Amino acid sequence: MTIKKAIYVVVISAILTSCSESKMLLKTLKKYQVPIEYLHDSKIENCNEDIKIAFGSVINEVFDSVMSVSKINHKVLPFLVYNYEEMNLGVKFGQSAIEQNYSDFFKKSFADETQRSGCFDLIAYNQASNFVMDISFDTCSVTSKYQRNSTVIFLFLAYTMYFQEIGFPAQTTLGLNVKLTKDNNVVFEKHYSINKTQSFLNNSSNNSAKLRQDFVVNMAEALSNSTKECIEQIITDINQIIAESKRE
Amino acid sequence: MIIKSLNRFIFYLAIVSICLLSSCTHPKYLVRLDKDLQNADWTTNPLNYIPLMESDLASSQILSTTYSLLTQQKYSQLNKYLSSCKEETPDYLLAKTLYYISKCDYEKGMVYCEKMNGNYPLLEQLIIIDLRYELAKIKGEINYKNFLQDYQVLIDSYPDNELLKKIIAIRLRYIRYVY
Repeated sequence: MTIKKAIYVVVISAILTSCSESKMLLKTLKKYQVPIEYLHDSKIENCNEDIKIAFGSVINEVFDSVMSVSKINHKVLPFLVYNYEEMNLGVKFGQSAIEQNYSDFFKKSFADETQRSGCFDLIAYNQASNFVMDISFDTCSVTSKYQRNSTVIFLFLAYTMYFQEIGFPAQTTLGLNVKLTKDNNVVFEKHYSINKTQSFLNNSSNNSAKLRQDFVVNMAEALSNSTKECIEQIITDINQIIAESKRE
Repeated sequence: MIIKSLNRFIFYLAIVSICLLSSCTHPKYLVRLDKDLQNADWTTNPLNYIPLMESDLASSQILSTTYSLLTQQKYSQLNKYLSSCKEETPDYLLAKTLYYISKCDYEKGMVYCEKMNGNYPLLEQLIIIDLRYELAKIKGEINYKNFLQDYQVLIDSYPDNELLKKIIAIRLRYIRYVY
């Protein structure tokens, strides 16, 4: 009976610890709000911009509004002398962690990139145009893993404890559909998919506050770079469509 | 007597420790030849580089000596060497700027950089943004968007310089993570 009770206590305390760990991490991660803008380094094209494309809609209902943390697993190695505990938490990035609204950022970045490398003029929807472009996201997520581990070593009457936190590189999955129409006829439609892992420079640190801040920055950086890559691909394709339509 | 000398020893030890902790042991900006940077690993590298052209070193004794002493981290020797130079030529001003950047004395670095008057335009523009960033960081007035804009203007001024794009991409990571 006593052993049973002890097992219950251990199990309940492990569950409570894992729940509080994820809540605590989420509470600290929610404190940070980071910028997402990136550097445009594509080649500046000096082409004729007589084609006008109206920016129709950018529909993104798939990007989470808030960041979330969930438990992946909890490992305990309770040896007599050496005790190791590891908690792995899955973190999903959300709008609340970035300074700018993601859809607005996407539109602005698209417009800026068009001015550099686009062979067309991007105009507002209500103006007269040759084409209308609509973008709808079907996937937009940035996930990562955060690990907290502790080691306790007993040696007779003495013991040593060691805690460590590790942030893993963020992974972005971006999927969106681009549709270009002319007089209500679809002239171009393509699905773009970006899967990218962003290297994390400061993946472990003694300063957990700095590590957690950098962890959020890494996720924003991942989303930022994937968006950049996606926008550049779209503009390259549209340039090609325009060049082909001019040849016809 | 013993206690007095022990106290004195602890006092000096504390002063030396404070000096060591407050000094710039690892420069945040490394001066390298541009040809050596062509093969650098940019994906996992958080270091900020200041590129020097081989032709600039070949034509300037001050710059080649400065480069050599900086890469060996012989800062006091470099300081002595630069103190022995009499004229404030553009090479000397650049060398002094690089010296102070390596010593993390960004205010003095800015003083010498501003005197260069466009003899090394790219380096000057790059270093001025770097120094403004470091000084803003000290004052706690970092504005990511402003620095991003400044670096954007710089890479757009040199659209064919692929190395500069890579160097600035690292600068941006540096600013994102606020090292």
